Amino acid sequence: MYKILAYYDVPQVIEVRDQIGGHYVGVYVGGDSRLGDYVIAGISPYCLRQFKAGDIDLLALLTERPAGIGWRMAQFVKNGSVEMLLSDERQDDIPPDYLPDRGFFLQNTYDVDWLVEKAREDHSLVLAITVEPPEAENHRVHSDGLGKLLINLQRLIKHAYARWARDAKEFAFPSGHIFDVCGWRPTSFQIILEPSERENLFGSFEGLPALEIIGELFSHAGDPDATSKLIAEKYRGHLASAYRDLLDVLITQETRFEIAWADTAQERATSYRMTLSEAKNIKLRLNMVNRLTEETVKLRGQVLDANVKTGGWLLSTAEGERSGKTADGGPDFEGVVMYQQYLFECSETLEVTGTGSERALLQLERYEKL
Amino acid sequence: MKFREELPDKCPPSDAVEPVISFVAYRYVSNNPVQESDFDSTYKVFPTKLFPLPCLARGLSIFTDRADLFRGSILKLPTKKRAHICKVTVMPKSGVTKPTGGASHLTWWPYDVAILEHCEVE
Repeated sequence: MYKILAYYDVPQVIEVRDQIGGHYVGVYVGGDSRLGDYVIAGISPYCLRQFKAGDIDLLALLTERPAGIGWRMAQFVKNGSVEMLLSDERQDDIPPDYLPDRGFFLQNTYDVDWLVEKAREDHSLVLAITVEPPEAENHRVHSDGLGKLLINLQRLIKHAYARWARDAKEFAFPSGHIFDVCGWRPTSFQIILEPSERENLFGSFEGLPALEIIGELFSHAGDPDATSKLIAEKYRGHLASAYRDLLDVLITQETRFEIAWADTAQERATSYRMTLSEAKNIKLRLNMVNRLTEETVKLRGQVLDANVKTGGWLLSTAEGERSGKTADGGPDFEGVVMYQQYLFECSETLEVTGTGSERALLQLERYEKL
Repeated sequence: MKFREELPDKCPPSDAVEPVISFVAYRYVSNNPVQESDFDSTYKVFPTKLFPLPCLARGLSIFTDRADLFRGSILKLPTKKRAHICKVTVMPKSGVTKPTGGASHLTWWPYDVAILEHCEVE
């Protein structure tokens, strides 16, 4: 039994299973060889999963085999149906001409242009995300993993929308970032979402600018340095935090990720992909960026509490009471007059609670009396 | 119109269509400058070989989105390591195409018309 994993003119990369359940991956080496058209190597189901998730490349799969596991040549034959005929196993090294260069990662793609049709049918912006966690082999996905994925995706959209509104000095609808799950496709774990808010008076969708920013975050997935630089220079703060947390979910669930969308005006769907290996590489680099997830906020209000000993404080602002601590090396409260108006400049980070809601942690960096 | 290569029954599939307007596509080729043999199907080169999807093996793979040439890095595969990228204009009367294999990948069954004058290696 065989499955085509990458196609160009002919099947270029194939997965083969023998009658006793052995797994192989093969690569097309051209039709000139007398021995066969494909080089195939036995691999464990775990390595196959890693390859499909984009965590290891084809060269590693073919050459870093466990001791005693050899390689074979193979070709398609017709025996009633089309099958693969395998040669005897060999234990020597695979000839270099038969090996791919380092860096061939599988990039499964799903047709996403159906989103265009759905966007027109529903008269809506339609978003689809695709994941392939290990359990997807059995046509299922763990509810816990799915929940975390959706929570973190929604957080990413929320902060991308807030960032767009802030940078473009546009009015942000309170629910402009909210997407509802409205179905899934049985061919994969492709989850379909549409915005809660319908088209606005100007014929555009509130969530779209957020998706465009998200597209920017995924557009150079194969270049972790460029992606981490983009985030460090342009998207620090809550958006970086949500993005990093989504990467964490993908890494924990060992899945690649695809995000695609279309609105009523698009001719083709917009889509971006990220392999598991790319997610890990970007996460590694983001971990090295200092104060990546901190956002500076300015609060104006009446000081209700300022504890000189503990550094704790409480401020009554127009948006309600806000509390926090003094940052390490931050100001003390000597001379602060209670019930007077102050400007507090804080670094804010977000903590995600078990229910998926966000709690702001404020650290006072400086203050001044108004 | 006569196809460039002899094709079996039901090939190309009935949902393969002539493009309505010309479009630019990209194909990996072995030669620079490009030669007629770069537009031979795998079946023509290896007529005794068997491949699944035999009708597709008699067509040519092309991508309409240049970025898809680099996704998955086909250029790292054994038979494509030394390949060049050719930009080709597919015109309404130059054959029929069908989306196959995901992303912007199409299979193109060219008619027996001049192709080389509409393509250049990048």
